[in-house]
Amino acid sequence: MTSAMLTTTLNRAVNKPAGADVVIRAVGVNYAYGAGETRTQVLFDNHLEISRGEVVIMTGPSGSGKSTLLTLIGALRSMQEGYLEVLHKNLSKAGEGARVDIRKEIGFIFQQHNLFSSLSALENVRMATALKPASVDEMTGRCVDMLTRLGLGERIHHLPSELSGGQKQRVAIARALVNAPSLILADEPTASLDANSSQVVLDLLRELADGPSRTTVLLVTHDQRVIDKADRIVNMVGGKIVTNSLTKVAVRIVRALAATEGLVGLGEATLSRLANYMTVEDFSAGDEIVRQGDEGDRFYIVGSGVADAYKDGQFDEEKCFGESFGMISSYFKIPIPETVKARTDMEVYVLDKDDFLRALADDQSFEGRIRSLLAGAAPGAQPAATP
Amino acid sequence: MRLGRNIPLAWKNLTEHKLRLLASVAGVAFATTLMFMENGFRKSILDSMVNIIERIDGQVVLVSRTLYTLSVPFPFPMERVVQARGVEGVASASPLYTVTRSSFWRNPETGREERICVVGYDPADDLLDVPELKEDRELWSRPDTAMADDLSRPAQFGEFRAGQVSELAGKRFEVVGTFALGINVQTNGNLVVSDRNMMTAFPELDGPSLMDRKVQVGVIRTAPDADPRRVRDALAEALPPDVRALTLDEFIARERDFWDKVAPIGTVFYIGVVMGFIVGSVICYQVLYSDISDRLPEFATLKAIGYSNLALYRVVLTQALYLALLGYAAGLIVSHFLFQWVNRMTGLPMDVPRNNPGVILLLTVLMCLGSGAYAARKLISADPAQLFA
Repeated sequence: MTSAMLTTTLNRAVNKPAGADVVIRAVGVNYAYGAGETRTQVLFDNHLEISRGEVVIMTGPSGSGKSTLLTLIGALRSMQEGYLEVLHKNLSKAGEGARVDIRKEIGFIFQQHNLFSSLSALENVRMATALKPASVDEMTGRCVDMLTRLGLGERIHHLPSELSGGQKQRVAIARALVNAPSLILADEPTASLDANSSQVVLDLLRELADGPSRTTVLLVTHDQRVIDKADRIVNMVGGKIVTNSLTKVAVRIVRALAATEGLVGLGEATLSRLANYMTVEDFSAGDEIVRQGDEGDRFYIVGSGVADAYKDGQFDEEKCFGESFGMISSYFKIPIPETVKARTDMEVYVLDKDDFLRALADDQSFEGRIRSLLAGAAPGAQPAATP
Repeated sequence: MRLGRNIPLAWKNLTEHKLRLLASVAGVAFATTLMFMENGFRKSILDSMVNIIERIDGQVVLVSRTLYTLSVPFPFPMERVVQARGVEGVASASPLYTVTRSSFWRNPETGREERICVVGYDPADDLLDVPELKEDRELWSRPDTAMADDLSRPAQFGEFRAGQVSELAGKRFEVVGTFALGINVQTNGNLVVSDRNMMTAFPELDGPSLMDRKVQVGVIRTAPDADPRRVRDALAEALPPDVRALTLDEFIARERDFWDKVAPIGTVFYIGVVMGFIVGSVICYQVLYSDISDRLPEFATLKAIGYSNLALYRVVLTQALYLALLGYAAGLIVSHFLFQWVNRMTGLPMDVPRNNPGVILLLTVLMCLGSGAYAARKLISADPAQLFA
């Protein structure tokens, strides 16, 4: 099986890789602990693609499998089932030696700093540079620079016992970053840091992702401050990736959904979940998006631009940001009630029939809202504000 | 502080906690000292058992065919010595008499009779290469005189000095001088007398004629150009089978072998060395295992970032090597002083240079490296994946 054949089948706009250079590609990844009667499967058919330079947050409740997936991506465990490619190397059948080699390209940040108490801050970071040997001055220089960037320039010769918890964590972060890794895997990297230190670390991670090295960063975190720095959020539940959203697109969709009349009052979680089912489509000025009387299978919400709605050939109204149109005829038993044409270039968020039904099944709030809309509308008539 | 190419993790880990380091080094030093002492006792006892033989000034010896150690009397007739003089390559052949079990010297201070080893030969023959015996040859040629070993145990014999008069085998003898030879586990003191005085003190050695005297060792000096091994073979061929001809080196080796393997003093102390090795291994293992356990998350982190198991093994083995060298150095110093003390207390020839310090160093290093390698198996269990748990 070639990697080209293994592109995931995810097709929602929010799920597509941000760039062409995919550095993490997981296809149908399963993993189980134990064997025989004690076998416990913790990962179920996971698909994931992450591109170079992306900052990705993995969230999910304890036991959701995110740590196991992270250890597989970090080549800390051997694969059992599925295909996993990291930094263009196939880890599916990689032996111990190959996994050790690829780990040299990865910067690991753990919840615990795990610094050698016998070594100074500088020496602890130098332990990492030994894996990418260079001249002594060059290696030491890189370490001093990194520690200085993390605000530890005055403490490079201090032992861990002479540093605060946050300072120790920053030394551990320096150790992870000093070799300019292509991929950074971090487990709650800001958990023990104060607000200022967190900001410094997050800025640094973002800078590495945006800089010439285009480092990919994969973080397990519950720190809300990190979300601003992320490109994508991957949410896992019960050993499976349930949502995988490009955060900037997701934020835009959620904002548009929040402004939609029929969805006013729904919680942020429901809107986020709904956003994950939606795709993004662009239309040029003059494009006819839907036609009155056709059998429809999609809802549309205006993200940007303006459209004109016509009923029976007459101009009816203007469709702006947050306004919806379209129809899922087979569910609501009515055809598309109006023709909509783009007046300007537009970005439109689309929910098709299948995803609409999935969203109904997944989220009780959304389902309740749709039922109340249906209950308030005459049979065979268009729901007042669907969705 | 300028860092080198490699961070000395092993050294830093070993020396981080000074008290722990002290205890660790003391543990290894204890094992090293134990090995030094056991090996030292073995070596000094074996050396002491051949002390007299090593001083024999000859190249070949004749001994009774039944003799298995010089400490047990197995004499042969003087006639064999006389016969040997006629064998080709023999420059001289002289009798040497010893009595080790039935010879008693009365301690003039306590009046008690103490067993003593008595060696007799013609002073003119200079059979023992001991300077004092050669210098005072005239003195101890006189009747009823003896030379006494300064290194004899004072607890038994008091302090020997010239002019001291007492009894040897119940007969009056005068000490006319002293020499330094040393004692062994069979005897606490030595006297050297002339062959005539030997016969006076121990008439049972004498016979109806000179040819019948009971000789313990026949000392053969070979002709200047003669090969001792050829002379040995010639003697074996020429003499009746009741005597055995040996080169001096063979005689020494046989005597050492007896005490080492048959007696078996050597085996007992070998076991002591092995025990020291085992004790040291256990101590070293405990020290390293405990250190690895304490730093397991740190080692797991190194594994996570790309260090191989081999690289981590190297760290632990280097730490074991440092521990071995520090422990050895401490053990060497302690052993030096213990050897001096034991030498003073027992008279046994013990000091560091003659007790294979190189071998003990090798054993200490092997002991620590072996323990280190065993303890380092723990590193395999350091699962970097657990760091994300």
